[in-house]
Amino acid sequence: MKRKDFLRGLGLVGIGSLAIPILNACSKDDDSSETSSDTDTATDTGSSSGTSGDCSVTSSETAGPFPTKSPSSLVKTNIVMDRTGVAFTINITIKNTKASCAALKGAIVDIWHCDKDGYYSEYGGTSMQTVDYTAVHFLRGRQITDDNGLVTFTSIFPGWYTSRATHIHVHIYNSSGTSLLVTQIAFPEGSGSAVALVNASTANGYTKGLSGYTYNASDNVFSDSVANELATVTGSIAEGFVLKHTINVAS
Amino acid sequence: MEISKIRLAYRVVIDSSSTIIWDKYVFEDTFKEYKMQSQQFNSVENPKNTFRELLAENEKAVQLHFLVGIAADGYVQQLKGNFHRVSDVLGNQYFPFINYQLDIVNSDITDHSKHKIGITFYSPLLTYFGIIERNYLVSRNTEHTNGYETMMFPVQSHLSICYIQKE
Repeated sequence: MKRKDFLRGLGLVGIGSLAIPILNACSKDDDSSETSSDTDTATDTGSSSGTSGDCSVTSSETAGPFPTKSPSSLVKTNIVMDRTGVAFTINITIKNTKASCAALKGAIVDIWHCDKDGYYSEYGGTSMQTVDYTAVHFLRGRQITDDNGLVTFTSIFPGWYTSRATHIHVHIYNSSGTSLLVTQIAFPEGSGSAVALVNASTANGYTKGLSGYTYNASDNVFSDSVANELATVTGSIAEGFVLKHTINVAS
Repeated sequence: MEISKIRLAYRVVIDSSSTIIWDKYVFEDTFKEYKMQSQQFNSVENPKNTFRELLAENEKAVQLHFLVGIAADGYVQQLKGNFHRVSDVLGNQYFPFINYQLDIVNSDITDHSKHKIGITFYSPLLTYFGIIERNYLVSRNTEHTNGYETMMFPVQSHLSICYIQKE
């Protein structure tokens, strides 16, 4: 409690309630040395003299930034953060093969995908880069399935990168966090498809086109399994696109 | 006086013996996240309990530093850019940070007492005037000027200059 020591040094302890608001004006309002030095406070109180017999209002102190339980910042429906691109809604339904493919309620669903330029949020470079690490959790999210086994995310249409077709990564856990399935969602392709329309949309920042694009048939993840990993994608550049997909797990 | 610019870094290590409540929350949530996220890197046939074993088996598990770090993000945001455990010599200014990075020292999906992480907080660019009386003498003002408002942070363990630039 350095501030109390300071006040005592100035002979201000008895009028702390008057002095502190003034001092607060030039200190951070979230003083939290309290949080980490509770034992100091106890010692201070014990050694304090001259005020215990006074009938005066106890000195006020800041509450300090006492931490509150915070859900993981992954848990959110809107995963766009600072990214830009064509609006995209992702609807994923989880069904349970061990219950005749009934909807699976309460499953935890993580998704992540790349931005319009094909980049994932990741730490890059070394610790001294000017990149703001605290803000690079874009395009990653976690939701829990509702009664219908559905989770919905608001995002932007993913771009692509060398050697891969457009895709979304999905990791499904049961309600206690045990992994059930790690998979990927494939996109319809060809003329008029969302993939073709979006990647031609330079106005929305998709500047790569499809030159060098890896189609599902050549994609080493989807080539043998695209039939049951292919989503339905509807919409338009102007209105945004909506993806619907069902994933079966054994829970 | 030669003036340069630096970034300071402070690393806090959190394990099962941590007593501060902020640390406990970060400990609990990062351990839970580790158990969840590590499954995608572990093999079903030959699962590894500890992070170090897993990393030796599957180098992609290095992503877990970042992925587990997301679980701490909410708590770091609550600090609002000041790490209060490190105060200046006056005791009313705190270590300012603009970035942070979580690293997993080790963990064990079967034993939470072996979970141990570090969080390194990175300061904004500061003007650096040297060490005076075992204190880093720095200013948040990085512009050229005749006078600077300064802060003095005691030299201490886990506090380091992590970046330096001339002018």
